[in-house]
Amino acid sequence: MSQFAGVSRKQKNLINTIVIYFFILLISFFAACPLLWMLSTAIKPRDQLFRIPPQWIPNHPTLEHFERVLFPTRPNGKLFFRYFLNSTIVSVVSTILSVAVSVPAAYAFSRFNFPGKDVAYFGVLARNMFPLIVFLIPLFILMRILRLQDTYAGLIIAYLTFTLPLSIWLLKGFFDGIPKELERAARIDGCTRFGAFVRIILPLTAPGLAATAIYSFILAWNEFAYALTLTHSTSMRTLPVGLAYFFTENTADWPGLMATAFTISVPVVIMFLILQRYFVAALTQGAIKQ
Amino acid sequence: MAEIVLKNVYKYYNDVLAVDNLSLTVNDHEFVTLVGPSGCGKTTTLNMIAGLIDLSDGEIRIGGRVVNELDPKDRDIAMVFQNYALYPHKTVRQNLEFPLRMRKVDKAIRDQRINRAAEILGITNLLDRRPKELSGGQQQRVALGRAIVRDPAAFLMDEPLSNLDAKLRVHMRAELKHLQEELKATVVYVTHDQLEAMTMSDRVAIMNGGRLQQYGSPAEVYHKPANAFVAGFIGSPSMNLIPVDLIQENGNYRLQNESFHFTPQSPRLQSVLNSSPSKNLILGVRHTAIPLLPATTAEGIPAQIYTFEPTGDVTFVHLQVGEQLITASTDDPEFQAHTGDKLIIRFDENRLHLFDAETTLALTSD
Repeated sequence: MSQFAGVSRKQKNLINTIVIYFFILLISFFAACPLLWMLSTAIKPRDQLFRIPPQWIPNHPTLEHFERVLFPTRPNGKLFFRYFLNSTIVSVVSTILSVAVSVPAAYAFSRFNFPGKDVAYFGVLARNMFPLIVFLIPLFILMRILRLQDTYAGLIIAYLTFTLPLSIWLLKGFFDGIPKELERAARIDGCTRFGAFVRIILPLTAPGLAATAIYSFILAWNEFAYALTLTHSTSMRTLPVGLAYFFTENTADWPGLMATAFTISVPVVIMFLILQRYFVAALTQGAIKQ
Repeated sequence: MAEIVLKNVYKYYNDVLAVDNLSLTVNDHEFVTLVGPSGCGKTTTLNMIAGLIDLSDGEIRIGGRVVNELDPKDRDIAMVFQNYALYPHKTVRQNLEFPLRMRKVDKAIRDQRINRAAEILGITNLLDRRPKELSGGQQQRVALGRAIVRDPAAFLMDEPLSNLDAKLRVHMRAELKHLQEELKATVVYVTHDQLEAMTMSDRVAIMNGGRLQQYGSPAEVYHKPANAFVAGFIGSPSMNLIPVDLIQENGNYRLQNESFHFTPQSPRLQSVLNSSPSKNLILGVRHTAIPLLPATTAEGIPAQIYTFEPTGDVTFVHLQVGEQLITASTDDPEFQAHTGDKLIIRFDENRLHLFDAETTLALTSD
């Protein structure tokens, strides 16, 4: 009398899998599409740009656009090289400084009690809650007063105002995840507090540290508003700002624009792909389960 | 190995007094347990001996020298933690090696000590594994090994068996005790389990509310508890502690409350009652000291079975005596227990304890 009601378990699982993968592919395509189109445009000869119907892979792909905008021998290329250098210096230095300060700071917040701790940590959290643009004008005025407008130092300090709080908050989460007994055991085994930190805590939180550092780097690398406002000379421009100027000055040069944009994005995308595992760990939970 | 002396040790956390004027000495080669309920200050005391927290006042000596100002690493002690605290990113061998490397011990000696410790603990085949690949019992032995390789002046153990399942715990109790005797180690052991304290220690320090209640051998604290807290804490099921009033009648002393009255016959007890400053007392009697007699017995205290717990050899019998609930036991296989049965009970006067209800201190004849 019993009916074989509906679909079997196995079939249900198969349907589930198909549906899930369908949506994953859809979303991936949606995300990758701009990048792919960017690349496609960058290698198209000019006369193919606005063909109807649109072509993904041009008949005669060319690298002339890449050469024109990026090679240091060309005028645009010279500019690009300068912007690249500026971005690199500002991002690398602010990341190094950020790590150097946030690691001990996060450890202190995690392990120690000291006067003003709650206030200081609240400051860290509070900064994280505001969009960057809110601090734009105050920072501009501050850099003017300090005579740091249009300098590397000014921009680096401005970037520290958001990389530091973010790093401290993320890293504290990682350190909180390590049981205090590990440091106690290390101190009894012969380490000083600092020794325990370096030999036991750092190796255990290394993936989280790396992810946090790289995340800070990417934030700095992609940052636009502060770089635009706090620098004004061409020689100090960073890549995102340079790209925007490129666009306004060369509205017709779509392939050139695409070539530049693609080149700026590629390093970041590759880093993300390689390190996404660590990013997920960094942004969700602590580093280690005991 | 070395002796450990605590002298008038205090520890304040803001306004809370966690350890209150604690003084005791752990002799060389001795196994001493600090035992008490949660929050009694035993772990705080252990951490102060280790140097992980500072003293508020007082002095701690290890091996004769004052260690108050010394870092944990300079005190020549080794510690075993409740959750083992093994370094997860190192292999077992590296875990055992770490304290020796920190002290710049030669590789040859390092390897010798590691192998010896591994052999004693039966973990030689685990040396290249990582902590997360080990069972709880294996992890615990590695933690012990890490302490043993140090050959320290003293071992400090903070509830090391609490995370093990019951059967393994019983096994490890015996193993630890055997190990301590073999190594002739000085051990300070912290636990909330009075059975662990009793079975493993040379002496037991019972703490409550930051204060030392009694410090003596397991036999002493069991048979001669210094106060009502110790009497009720040591031994399971707990000693029956019954509030009674002291009445003098015709030159004889009698103990009574609303549930029963009891006139001690022995001269020793009469003398103790004679010198009691207070009229409000606590009568302490263990379940083993209450013979169960048929209801037809002439003399004794009437009781009714409330419930009973057969455990195989021993049956615990919970008796209703008036308003009072008293726990007794019998190992008589012929004893038939039924809820509601009426019996007569007596108290073995040789194993009776009396405490002052106000000071909770044990009464003695002087």
